[in-house]
Amino acid sequence: MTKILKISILISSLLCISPPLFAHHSIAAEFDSENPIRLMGTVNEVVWMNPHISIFVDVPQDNGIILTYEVQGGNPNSMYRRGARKDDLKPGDPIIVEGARARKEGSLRVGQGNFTTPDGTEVW
Amino acid sequence: MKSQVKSLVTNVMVIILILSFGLPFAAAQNTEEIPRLSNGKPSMTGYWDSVRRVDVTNTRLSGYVEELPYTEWGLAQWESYDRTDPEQGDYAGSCMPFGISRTVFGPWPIALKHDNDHLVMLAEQNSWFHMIPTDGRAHVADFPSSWWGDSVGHWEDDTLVVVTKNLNGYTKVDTAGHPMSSLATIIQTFTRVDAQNIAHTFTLDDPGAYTEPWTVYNNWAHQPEGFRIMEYSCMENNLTGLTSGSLLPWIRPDETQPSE
Repeated sequence: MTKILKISILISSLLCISPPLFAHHSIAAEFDSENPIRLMGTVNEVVWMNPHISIFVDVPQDNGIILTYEVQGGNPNSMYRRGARKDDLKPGDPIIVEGARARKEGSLRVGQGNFTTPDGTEVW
Repeated sequence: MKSQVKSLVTNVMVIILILSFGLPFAAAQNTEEIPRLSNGKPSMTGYWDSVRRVDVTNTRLSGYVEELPYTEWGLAQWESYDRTDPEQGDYAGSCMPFGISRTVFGPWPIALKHDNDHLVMLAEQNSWFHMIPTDGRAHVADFPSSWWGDSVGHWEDDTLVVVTKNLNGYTKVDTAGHPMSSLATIIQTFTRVDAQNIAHTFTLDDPGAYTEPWTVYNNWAHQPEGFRIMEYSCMENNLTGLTSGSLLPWIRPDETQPSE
């Protein structure tokens, strides 16, 4: 019964987990989850701040210019409690980002970022 | 075979009960003694975590509200609110106070410090605090209205009842944006069902936005020894969004609040 209770509590807890896009404020006002963006580049800087971390990612363009996107991730306190640490990603690390474009036209900000390495390992 | 089936049915029933009523059912197994204040009442002191509730009508989370009985003003507020519209400038993005509802329904832990005279809520979310006198004093009649309002607590048997009045009407009930007016009274109850759990209720009595009071039921789970509340500086990384224009600042709404 104890095992069943533990499994039940786990399932109950999982059902209670909310998607990260609702983590703090109405992120939907800034980013459009219906308008995804995928970036391949290298980490420029990790900013470990509330309410959402930012990873600045250098993304080379076809014309040779490098654009630096600011990609917002999860809440640093919640991430810390899940075992994530700021130095999981370092400047110069190759990274693939999937996220939501900013509603503001021309913005280089990206929301709800998911970060994986080129070999498919999920970082955050 | 028959006993295996019976065991399976029993286990499934347990799972259904827990999924339906949340952790309090599982917590009924806990036999630790409930800590008490020097006046004999249950102490709520501890670090607590609860269910994140983005939308109080979300049927996936036990304790939800089945149907919100809007007034005409409340329905107009709800139908005109679009949290994807940056022009509406969500106050949370500007790090304005979330108030009681969006703090207790938020995803971050809360520390409670409790003695005979006060319950103090220390919320990790935006590092806010809220003090609730429990020494028998009344609400301050001429207090200016505010985001968190004016709270006082009293005991009904071993349940601590916290009543909050004098709200400014700027906060929403939840992230989904359900309305709350300046006429709202929030009634919370804290019942320490055992050493590891508080049965918490949130009742909104708001004749401005709803025709009758409604209640959300939440379990608060005690966090283990060594748990820490972390700093949460809300504006730290929202500032660039606000200054770049990507995130629009909150502007005090000019719509009229409902009258009594």
